Amino acid sequence: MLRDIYYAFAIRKISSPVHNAHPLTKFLGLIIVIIASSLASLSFLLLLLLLTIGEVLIAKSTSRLCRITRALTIPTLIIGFFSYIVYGLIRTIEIVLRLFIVAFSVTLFMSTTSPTELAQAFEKIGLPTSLAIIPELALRLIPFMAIDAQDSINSLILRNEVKISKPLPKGLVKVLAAIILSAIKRAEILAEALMAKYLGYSKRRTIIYSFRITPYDAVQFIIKLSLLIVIIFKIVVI
Amino acid sequence: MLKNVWFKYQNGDWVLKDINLKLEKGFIVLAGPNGAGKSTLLKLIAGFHKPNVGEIIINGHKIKNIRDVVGLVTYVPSNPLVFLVGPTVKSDFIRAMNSFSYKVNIESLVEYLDIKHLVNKRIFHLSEGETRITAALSAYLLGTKVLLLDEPTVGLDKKLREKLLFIISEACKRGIVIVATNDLRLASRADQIIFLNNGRIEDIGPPGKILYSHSFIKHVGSTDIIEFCREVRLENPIRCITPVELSSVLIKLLQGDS
Repeated sequence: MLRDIYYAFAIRKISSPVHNAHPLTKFLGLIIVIIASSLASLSFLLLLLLLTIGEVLIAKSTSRLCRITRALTIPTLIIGFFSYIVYGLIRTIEIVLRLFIVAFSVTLFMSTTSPTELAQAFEKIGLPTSLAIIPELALRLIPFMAIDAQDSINSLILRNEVKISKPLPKGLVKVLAAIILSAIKRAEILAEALMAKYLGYSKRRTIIYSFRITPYDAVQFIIKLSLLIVIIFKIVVI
Repeated sequence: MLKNVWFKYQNGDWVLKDINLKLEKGFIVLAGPNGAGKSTLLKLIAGFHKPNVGEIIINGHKIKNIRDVVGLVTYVPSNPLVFLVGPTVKSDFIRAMNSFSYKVNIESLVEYLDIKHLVNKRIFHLSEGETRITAALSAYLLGTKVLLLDEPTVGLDKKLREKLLFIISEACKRGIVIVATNDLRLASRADQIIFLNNGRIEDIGPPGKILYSHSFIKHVGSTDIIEFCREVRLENPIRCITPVELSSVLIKLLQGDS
């Protein structure tokens, strides 16, 4: 599962309207989709799912979609089973759809946006470096954390610290502690490297990317924002 | 023992091709260029993955998954932080010893290795080299017959490297230590080097044979001292083949014992 997430999130630099879009509009689009999916009813959720799949097709990232779908299979079955018992069929479908919309959107964003682009875009609009660096650190660390998690679980099973049992192995807290420790160390090194490389926006620093708003940016942003407004309006009116 | 092992990750190319190995007790180094399959081979022996073709047999048992090797194999990943549970070095050592009830005099070992200053440190405060040596010692204290170390010499200074070699030699007394590394300083001390290239075993043998082969030098490289030994060997067919052997010859010469 972790390996699938790693490959789904790994960035692939190709030319597509999604890849060439402005990182900030993509980021805002992602936030809007997450908010909209948490508020939407079944019909709007289906619409959001279609919209996300459409974007995935434009980005030529169907293989990433398959990867993340495979990674989500077991969590979906577990969540689906329990929510069906507690909430019934319609709510279960809504919950599963929300899970997939968020997962697909995050995958699309991660696999088409370089974290460097995002950090530099944030700095350009005046965000302090210490804040601009956060998403870049998080995005860059996720694939490493996935690999670390897999290595940690396996090596701690062999250490007899994690016991294999169903549905979840026992002693996963130790794995979590080890991964957090490793992530903090990695984040320290990475932050220093990023600061040395290009962060701390000024005219005298290296500017790696130049950004411009593309037609795709405008279209996706307007569609998503309109959808969010309609969803909120419907909730308020009802 | 690995019999006709072929392995690839999902939707990928073959990472390991037709691996046939019979491993004996001792210190074995897996060397080869980046992407040759060294770490993957270690993970296969540790039961993390199942070979697509072929089989792995340890102690007469066919390895199907990780459950089959618990208590038999220890694996220290290239990021040793994820192997340590801490919170302090000392508590990690004690936990390791208690895992499979392995009995060893930890105090004398710590004293011999001169790492007393480390034992009360928290794992988080260890340097890169200190983390690696702690992980290697914890792995040794588990007492398993097979010890697998992935790139254990990264960030180690000469002193810590010697300590690592001591831990490896102690672990070899009870079984096999397999190390994936391209560190020739470590490889020259191995009993056997397995040279992997492009997923296949290109050569197996003692350091005296592998370190001087043209293919190994081309793909992995050489060091000044190995080059020197090679030249000495070419010009004078004396029995002075590895850097370790050369150093012992030189010591004897300096002591007037030749």
